[in-house]
Amino acid sequence: MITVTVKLYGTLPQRMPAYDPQRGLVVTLGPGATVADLTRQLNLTAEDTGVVALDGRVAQPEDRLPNDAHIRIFQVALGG
Amino acid sequence: MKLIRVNMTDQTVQVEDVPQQYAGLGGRGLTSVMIDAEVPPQCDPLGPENKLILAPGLLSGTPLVNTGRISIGAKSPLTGGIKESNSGGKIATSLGKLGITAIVVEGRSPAGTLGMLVIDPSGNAVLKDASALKGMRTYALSAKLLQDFGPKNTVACIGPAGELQLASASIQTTDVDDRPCRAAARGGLGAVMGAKGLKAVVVSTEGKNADAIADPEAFKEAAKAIAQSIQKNPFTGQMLPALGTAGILGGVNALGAFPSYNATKGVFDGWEKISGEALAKRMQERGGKTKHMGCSQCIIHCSNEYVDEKGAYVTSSLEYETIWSMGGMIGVDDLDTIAQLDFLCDDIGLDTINTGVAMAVAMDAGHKPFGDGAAAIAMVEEVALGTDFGKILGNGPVAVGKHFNHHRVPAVKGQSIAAYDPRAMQGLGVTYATSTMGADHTAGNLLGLYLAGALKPLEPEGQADASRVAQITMAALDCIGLCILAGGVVASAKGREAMTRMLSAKLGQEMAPDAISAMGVRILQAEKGFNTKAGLTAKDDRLPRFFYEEPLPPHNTVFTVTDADLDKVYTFR
Ligand code: SF4
Repeated sequence: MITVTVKLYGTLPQRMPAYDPQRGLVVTLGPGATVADLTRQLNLTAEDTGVVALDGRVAQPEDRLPNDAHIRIFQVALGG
Repeated sequence: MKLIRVNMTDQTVQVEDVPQQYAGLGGRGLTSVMIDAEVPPQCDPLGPENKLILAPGLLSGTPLVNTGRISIGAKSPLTGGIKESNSGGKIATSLGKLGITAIVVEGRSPAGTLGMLVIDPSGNAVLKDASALKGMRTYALSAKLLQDFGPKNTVACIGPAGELQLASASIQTTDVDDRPCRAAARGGLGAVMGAKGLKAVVVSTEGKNADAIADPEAFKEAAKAIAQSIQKNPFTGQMLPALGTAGILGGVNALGAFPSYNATKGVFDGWEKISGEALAKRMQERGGKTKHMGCSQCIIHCSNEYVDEKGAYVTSSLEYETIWSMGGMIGVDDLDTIAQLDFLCDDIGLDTINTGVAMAVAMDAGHKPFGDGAAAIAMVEEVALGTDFGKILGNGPVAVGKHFNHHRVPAVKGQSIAAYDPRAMQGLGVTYATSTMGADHTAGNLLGLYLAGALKPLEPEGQADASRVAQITMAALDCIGLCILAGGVVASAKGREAMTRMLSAKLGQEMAPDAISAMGVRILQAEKGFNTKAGLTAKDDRLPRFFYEEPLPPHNTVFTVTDADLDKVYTFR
């Protein structure tokens, strides 16, 4: 099993009542889990999941998650 | 459907029916086609031959939501080309309800005089003497005008920067709370208004003479479908009301595309202190507003009201682009300072983007250290005081670069880039380079494609085509008068079909399925035609050298879209 820390942005935190913006979420996944597995486990659809940053770099859905990774998930948005 | 022509030279006002050549146009469509037809391309932008045109969108004043947008156009003193700058507030809806298709300001007031245009509830327009208002800043000015003419009016005005005819001067419009905090900021249109000797336009909000809708039932039905899709969309229905446009700040930093410290880094060290989330948290703690209606008929409410520690009003609306230009770009990570700078720019009548970037260039050249918020506030105040340096700063980043002999000036056609670095979002570079407006993110923003993973931001492939499509759509939205934040609805086939039905219902003629694209192309062609006649060439459709040469951390990429690809953007099939 691997454990990753996830921070959510935009209105995504509102979907998880227990979310603590300081600490983020600690999520446990099976070995070899990918970014797509993580978003699925968090019930985030393609419509509301924008860029996913994995240890400071933009990740693709098929990217594998290393143990202890720090992940930030942003929403899809248009320009300001 | 009438045009109000105001001749500042002989101080006359004439009303005419909209000529056939402008039928079916509003907003940017009308300003650009009219400028192309009526303004000598080689004229001095601050001379009497230029025309300043204020045109509400084609659907402003109708029941469609989010149509409180006005286009203001002229030949730009900043870019030397055509300019459309878009603002919100109440003025577009008010003009629409008066049945006024555009106000066209021509000529130039006799030297030393200052006027204002006042339009009453019947749509009658008169020019009045405004010499007593000389030098006034926009907040005090708007408050005075609304006291003198009554609260059921709305105002478009200039501050000291416009009177000084500085190339970053904005035209401010009052929002739904009567504050002059919405801006047609880009391209120095405030300087054009100042050069004409026009301090303010006061418009009644009580008009009841909107142009008829040919098929009201069909219009209502399509308008309902559009409103529903705006509400259902997570961006317009949830994120913008919760966090405002600043909600995208984290995502842009995650993409390494947030130009910081005069575009030397793509991630700002203090981004979490100035993000939409941080802004919302602070406003919740202080009793400010994170969800605020800035413009008439808006159902999104992307605006906010920033308050200080005691809960007193500081500014509205603190937007993503300003948080960048007055924050990351100059190394300031304190929202209170950024809010103060935003207020000052609105009050003086200055484009926050161009002014922030001008300060970033000055800091990069060693004039002041990055991150020095107090120095930034003092610099902006210098603009209003009209000091020598204030005038240079108020003329924008290119003027500042020349003054300091500093080459790192992130501007195209004289206008600064916005809050997306072209090296980390190549398509934004295409838009900045090729847009008829100079570097303008609203002309064709591809952020949505990057965040959704539909286009690779660092690769040159596909960027020119994507920018062309976006530029066509944005031009059409600016013509219709739909807020571009709501514009995502026309990206879907269903939304586009509803919008086409609505235009048919409004105009009483069946529109072709590609009518929206055709509208956008017509506008871009008129603009490009004007710019070519004004003397702009392919050389003006290029980014500054340093974007091709200096890699941007963290991706360490440069801008790699070829000149040949840039030159194809304005090729329309
Ligand atoms: S979303 Fe924002 S900019 Fe657009 S109409 Fe509403 S308040 Fe104005």
